[in-house]
Amino acid sequence: MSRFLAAEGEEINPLVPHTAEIILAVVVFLILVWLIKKYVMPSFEQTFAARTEAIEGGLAKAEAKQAEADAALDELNKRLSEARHEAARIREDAREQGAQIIVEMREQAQEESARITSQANAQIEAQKQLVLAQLKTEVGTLATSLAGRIVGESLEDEARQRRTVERFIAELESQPSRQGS
Amino acid sequence: MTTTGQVPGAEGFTPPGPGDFNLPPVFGDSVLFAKPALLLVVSAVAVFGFFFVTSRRTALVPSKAQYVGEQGYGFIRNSVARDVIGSQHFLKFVPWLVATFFFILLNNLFGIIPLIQFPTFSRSSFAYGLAVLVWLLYNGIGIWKHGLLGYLRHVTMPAGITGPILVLIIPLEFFSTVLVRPVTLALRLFANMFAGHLLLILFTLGGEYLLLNSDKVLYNSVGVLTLILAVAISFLELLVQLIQAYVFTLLTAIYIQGALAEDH
Amino acid sequence: MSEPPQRVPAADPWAAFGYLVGGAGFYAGVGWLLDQWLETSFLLPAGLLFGIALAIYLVFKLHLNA
Repeated sequence: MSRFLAAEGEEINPLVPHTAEIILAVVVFLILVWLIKKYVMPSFEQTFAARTEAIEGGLAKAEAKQAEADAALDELNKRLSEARHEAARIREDAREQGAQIIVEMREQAQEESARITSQANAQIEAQKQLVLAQLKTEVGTLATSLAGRIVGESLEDEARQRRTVERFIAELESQPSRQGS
Repeated sequence: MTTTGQVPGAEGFTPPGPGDFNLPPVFGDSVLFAKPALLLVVSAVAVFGFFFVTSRRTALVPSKAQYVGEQGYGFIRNSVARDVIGSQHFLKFVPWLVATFFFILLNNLFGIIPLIQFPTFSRSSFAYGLAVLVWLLYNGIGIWKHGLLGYLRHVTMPAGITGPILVLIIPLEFFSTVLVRPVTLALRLFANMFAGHLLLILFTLGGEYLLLNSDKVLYNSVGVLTLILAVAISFLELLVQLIQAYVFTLLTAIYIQGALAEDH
Repeated sequence: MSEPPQRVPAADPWAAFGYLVGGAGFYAGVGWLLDQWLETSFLLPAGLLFGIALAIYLVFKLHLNA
């Protein structure tokens, strides 16, 4: 204590070092550095590293998500365009098929109509033959009856003959409408 | 904070001087038990305690206290160590630089913390001690990196200077790197703290003396003004204390970087 | 956290001061020794000025032109 009180009176040079204080500062500081290195730094550095990782990991995750979404969108677009092509193709096919069906139907209809026509023709022909055959027998009978009548009435003159024939033809003409139906 | 010589008495006002920095031991007869030395130890304990507590509960989303500790650590780590030394080597020096900054900062802040009110580094010996350590550190790194001769050449021969003038430059470079650096480092810190504290004592004690020991109203009012000025100077000192802690740390980092650099 | 682009750290802002003090101190010392040896008295201030001039040259060469 006396040393310091004595120093009061003297000229004090604050620049003059005290060895004990220098050593104290060195020791205290080195201990502090060591303590911080040993107990503080690892913990903080770990936190920093973890945080960096968390941020970078989050970014990577988001990037992956984005890529995934992009891929999905691409896939979707691809599918959509495929579907569109498919639909167009189907439509085209349908149109072609429709056209073909129409053609086929038309052909069928024509065939059918031709068939029906020919059938009708054949029927008509048959009926015609039948009628002709009937007519032939009838004409024969008529001719026979006419001849009998002509002979029986003793034809006096030409005019009378002509009348008889005309009457006969008129009968004939009125007859077939009844017979033919 | 004051010593017996500054108590205003009948004999008049005694201006504060270098004697105010020679504080008597709290007990015993060693300078190691005086207030400055005790403050130095307390500051180291406090700095470590602060970082120890704030670094314990580490979570990705930090709590408030942890956030403060992390910001402090991260500031020195990123803005000083990494930006100056470079991302390759800086991690090894982070504890040193963090300790340097916060140790000096707290000891400086002691100058304006009420009831403590003594900036520890206004004792030049403490500043010498830190400067010696920095000197050993950067020269050691240089020798470890380049070898003794390689480091001497690295230190004394700046790139871009050739010819006979190099002979004249070599001793100059050697002086400025090896001798001037630690001296300026220590003196800058010490002188700032010393002068700041002296200024504060002068304004506080002067103001007090004028206020209490004068019969004239004019002197009393000047005393009040002086005390107000002392408060303003305290804020100025806060700035100086921060800057000095930062400058010491930054220069340490720059010296380390210079010793590690491939070319000058 | 990507590392920021490594900026070339500015040299010691007090490098110029160091050069001045180092140059002046060293060459003043050399001048003083020569004064002792040659029993002259002008070499100390001459060395001082020379050291300062050299320091200023160095500062310009190394830091202001770079």
